[in-house]
Amino acid sequence: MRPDLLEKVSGKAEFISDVSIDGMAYGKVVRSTEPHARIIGMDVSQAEQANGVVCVLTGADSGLLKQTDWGLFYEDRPVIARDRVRYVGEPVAVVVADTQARAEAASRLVVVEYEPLPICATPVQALAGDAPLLHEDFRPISDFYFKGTARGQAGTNVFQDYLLERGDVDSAERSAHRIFEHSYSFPGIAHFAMEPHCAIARFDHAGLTVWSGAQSPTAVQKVLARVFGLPIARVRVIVPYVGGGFGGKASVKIEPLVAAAARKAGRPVKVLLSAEESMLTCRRLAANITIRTTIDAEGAILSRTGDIVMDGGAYADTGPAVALKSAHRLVGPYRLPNLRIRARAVYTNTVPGAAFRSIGGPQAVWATESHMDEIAAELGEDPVDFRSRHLLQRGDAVIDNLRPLDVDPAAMMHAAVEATTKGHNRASRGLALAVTDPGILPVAGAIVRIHADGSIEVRSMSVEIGQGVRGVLRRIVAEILSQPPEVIHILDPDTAAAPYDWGTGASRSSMIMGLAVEKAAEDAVSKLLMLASEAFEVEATAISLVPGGLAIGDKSVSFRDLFHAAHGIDSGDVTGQASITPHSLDGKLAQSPLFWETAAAACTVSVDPDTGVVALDTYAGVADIGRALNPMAAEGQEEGAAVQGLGHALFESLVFDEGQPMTAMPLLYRVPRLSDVPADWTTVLIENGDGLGPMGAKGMGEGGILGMAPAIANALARDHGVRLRDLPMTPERIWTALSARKTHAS
Amino acid sequence: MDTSVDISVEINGVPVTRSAPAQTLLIDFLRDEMRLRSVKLSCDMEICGACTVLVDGLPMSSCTTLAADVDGAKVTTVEGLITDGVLDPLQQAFIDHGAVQCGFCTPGFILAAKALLLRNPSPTRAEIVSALDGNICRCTGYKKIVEAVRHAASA
Amino acid sequence: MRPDPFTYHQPKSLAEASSLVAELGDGAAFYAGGTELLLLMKMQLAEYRHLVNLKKIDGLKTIVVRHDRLIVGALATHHDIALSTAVSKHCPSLSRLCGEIANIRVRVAGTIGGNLCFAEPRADPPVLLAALDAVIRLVSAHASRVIPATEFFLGPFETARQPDEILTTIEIPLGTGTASVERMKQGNYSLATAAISRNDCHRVWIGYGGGAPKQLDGTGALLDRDNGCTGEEALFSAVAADIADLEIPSDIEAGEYYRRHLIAVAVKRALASLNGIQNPWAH
Repeated sequence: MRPDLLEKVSGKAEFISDVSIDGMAYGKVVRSTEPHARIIGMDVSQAEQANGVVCVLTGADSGLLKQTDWGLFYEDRPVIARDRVRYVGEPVAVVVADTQARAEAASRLVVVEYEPLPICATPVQALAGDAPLLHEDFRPISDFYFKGTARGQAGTNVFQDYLLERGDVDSAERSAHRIFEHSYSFPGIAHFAMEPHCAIARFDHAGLTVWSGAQSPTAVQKVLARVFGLPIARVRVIVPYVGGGFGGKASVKIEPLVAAAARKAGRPVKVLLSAEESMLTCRRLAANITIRTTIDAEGAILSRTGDIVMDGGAYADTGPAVALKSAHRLVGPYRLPNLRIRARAVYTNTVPGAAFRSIGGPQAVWATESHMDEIAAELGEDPVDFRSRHLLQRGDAVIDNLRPLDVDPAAMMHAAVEATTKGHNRASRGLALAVTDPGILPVAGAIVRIHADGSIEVRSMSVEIGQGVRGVLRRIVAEILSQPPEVIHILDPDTAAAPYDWGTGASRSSMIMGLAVEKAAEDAVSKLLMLASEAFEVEATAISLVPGGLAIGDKSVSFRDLFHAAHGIDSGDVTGQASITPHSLDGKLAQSPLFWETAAAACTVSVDPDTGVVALDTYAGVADIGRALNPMAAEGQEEGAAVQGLGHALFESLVFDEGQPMTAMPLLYRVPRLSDVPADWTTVLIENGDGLGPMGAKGMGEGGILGMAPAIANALARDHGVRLRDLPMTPERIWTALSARKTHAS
Repeated sequence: MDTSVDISVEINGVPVTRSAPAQTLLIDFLRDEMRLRSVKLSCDMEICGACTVLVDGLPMSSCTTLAADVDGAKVTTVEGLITDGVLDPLQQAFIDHGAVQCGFCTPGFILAAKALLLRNPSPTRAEIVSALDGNICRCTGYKKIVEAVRHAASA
Repeated sequence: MRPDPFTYHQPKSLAEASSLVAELGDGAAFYAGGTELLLLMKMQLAEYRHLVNLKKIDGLKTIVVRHDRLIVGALATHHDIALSTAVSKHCPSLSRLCGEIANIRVRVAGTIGGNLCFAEPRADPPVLLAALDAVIRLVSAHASRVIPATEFFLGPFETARQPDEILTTIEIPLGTGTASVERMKQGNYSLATAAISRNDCHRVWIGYGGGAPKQLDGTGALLDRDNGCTGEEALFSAVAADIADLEIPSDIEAGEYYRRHLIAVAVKRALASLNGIQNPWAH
């Protein structure tokens, strides 16, 4: 079903790091070794004279740029550091040479002199009254990539301060029977896509062309147009296969820097980061979250407050959206009559935060689902029962003014419980639920073009990043055009060939691009029928599509015959196109979210009492996805997301010590391996065909990451008597908790 | 100072003789010189397995192996598993079981699994886990990879 | 990452190899599996202008049993050792350990001799070889000597090998005794390793990531007294006392307190394994 798989197993698939362009040189980035400093001197003369070196780009070349700073919510990030660096890893120079090896060797000859500045190593330091400022001026931009404006406070390090409120929390707290408050922490996490960031830029008579492993090629196009003062029509972005992204290649990352290097070099430049450099490029925002819940005398939840502080790193990127979503995602599928959640994101002198699969979701769900179990335990109630008493039902409001809940959380919870019950008692199981509102902009376009030989091309900006979007689009076109899938070719995303699309992320491609392609295929059908109707002088209603051509009455006509009849030669094409906008589907896409992405997770764990090492024995993940357009790929999305969840649950953490990254290299950063995943593992996909997407599909692919960490923590608490509130739950932390419990008991 | 070494090697069944600077890494030799782009550079420190190739049937990290060290050996990449246009059962099983997502780790996994099946045609789950534990996949969660290898082994 | 250019030497004999390194001095290194050396050179943490490849010298990979000794050629890879029937028959603990080190690719390329000469303080083989009373043969162009493994390791990345000496064989005495080794591994390296051998007495050795393998005399004496059946509490106390003055690392991988505990657990498990009890938490 997926056209990419054969190429991928046989080694023919061309990824961005495999692309080479005539005349291409190679850039190696020189990075700041200081978390916060003035650049008081830079000597590139030795590097410039090294073998094969074409040029060295530095902040002194900012004159090549129309706009020296860019961003998605704030124009806060220099294309290349000029007089100041704000994190270890920030690009200060790019050495361009005729080979990668020479660029690497010469990059070591660049000498940079820094004068250290006081740093904000942590959000606590960044929030202090006398904290040094990372950015003296805030230059917010509105409705640029995400809708809205970040609510930062100039003169502080807070670049987002979002409040979600309902009812009257204060009076609820005054009348409460009991109050529960707990604090949780979630570390920065590396995306660790197997293919590091890579881009190639070329300036020529046509303008700027960039090949990139980008998830949001149109955002890259827009930012590049601004940075270089080019019309959008003169900036072309092409995306071959991408070796994983998970949000780390979303919005815009290295492309402005690479293009600047190409501009200076006067020839195409390729920059392929190392895995280590990718870890210094972006990360998931770390979070400290305090939740307080009040309960009335009958044990019903009266109110909840949440205080989320996210470590956004040195540049805001899409961090304001991450913080906003974390507030939404802290709510959960529960009846909470009074609600007040504040989410702030702050600048620190660390690697910039960015989108990562379910932005803000894992952080919020870690806190809120741990907290739910802690309350149940203190009330002496089974966590399933406690949740059941508060669960929302289909059609209820999770957050006022958003689309009502379109799933049945109770059914999901019971499916997860059921799947992990075999051979385990209920009391040993850890459970977690989540509902999230994907930030999907319903704006996309697509072109479906039928050629005279019956081959069909589909042009869309959706990036094949492993999720199988090309297979899904092919299936949709095949069904509408009644053609075998093999004749349908999904072209590489290319802004010069395909219409605008917001980007590949937020679980949107199958749904939104699916709808665009569906409509474009339908447009192609109607144009085809019109052409045939004229050519053969029959009513369009008498014509239908069959594999390879048309059926007119009992007569079969190939596409070639059709074009021959219509054009006089057997050449030509029929091009269907369509756009999806918030007004599409009679306005049904106008309300946010387009669907609720939900998760239920349950697990059992065992713990080595001597070492604190946890083994995940059984795991079940449940997702309501409306319809699985490719069931195997949909399962794979859930499974992969769950194991990423396992990573931040047990192993992963980007640790910074006074701004110095301590684990930002593959040898020191432990991601889940095969031996970590459970042998007993169930994935349940609920399909009611009730989504707004093609064939009733909803979006999917992010929910699976949400439940793992709190489900494990809840299993540890119930079955082993230790409550962990900080991620990752390392053996050392678990063993320490087990020891404390033993000491306490004796 | 930079010295060349002569390398005679059989790559995917084809004898090749080349001269290359001594410090040439096998991954660069295969990707740049031989245009075998299935060999992927990822961690660059022997942790992830994306650059795995078979040297005389055994998996090696081509990122940290000198090209000079395969002199006289037989090197196999996934391109070499295809005979007369027919995929190796492992390649087919990876497709059939959805064991591929972004595909960047896939050649390395297939070759690591091939090395396992060459010495142990019907491995247990534990043996599969042990043989593939040194290969990292960030997309699939590994479940379907194990299913694919088990299926290919029983086929 | 790429290593800087170097000259590649492919001597055919030990004498030639040793003389080359003696002649070339500091800028030259012997080269075997390359799993550690090449990585360091790629990362610019080591710089050598000359690599002297030992892989073309005959006989350095041989694994044989001779005169009550298991003789393992230094160029034998971890994978070779794991698959060797001689090793699995006569020294199963070494066989198992070599089958579990790092990952399959590192085991296929990495050699036992390279591992020992690198003297990575978190490496496991030195600990087991110390407990096994292994001796190490070092050969130069002019001389050959044999020293106990326990005297070979001097500290982190430091051994008794002279620059022009080539580690050629590791020789393990085969008596009637048994040995076991257990590692506490959570990331890419062991946090603690313990190996125990038993024939006329118990010899307990640990690796703790901070220096050369260390023998736990008090613990060994206790095991002798108890005939290898010491209870957990007494065992943990003995280990704690033995390592009390040892400088244990404390870093982001694990704190000192936890590491001290893991050393005791490693000893406990090595003892259980020696007594034929399988660790229920192994997976």
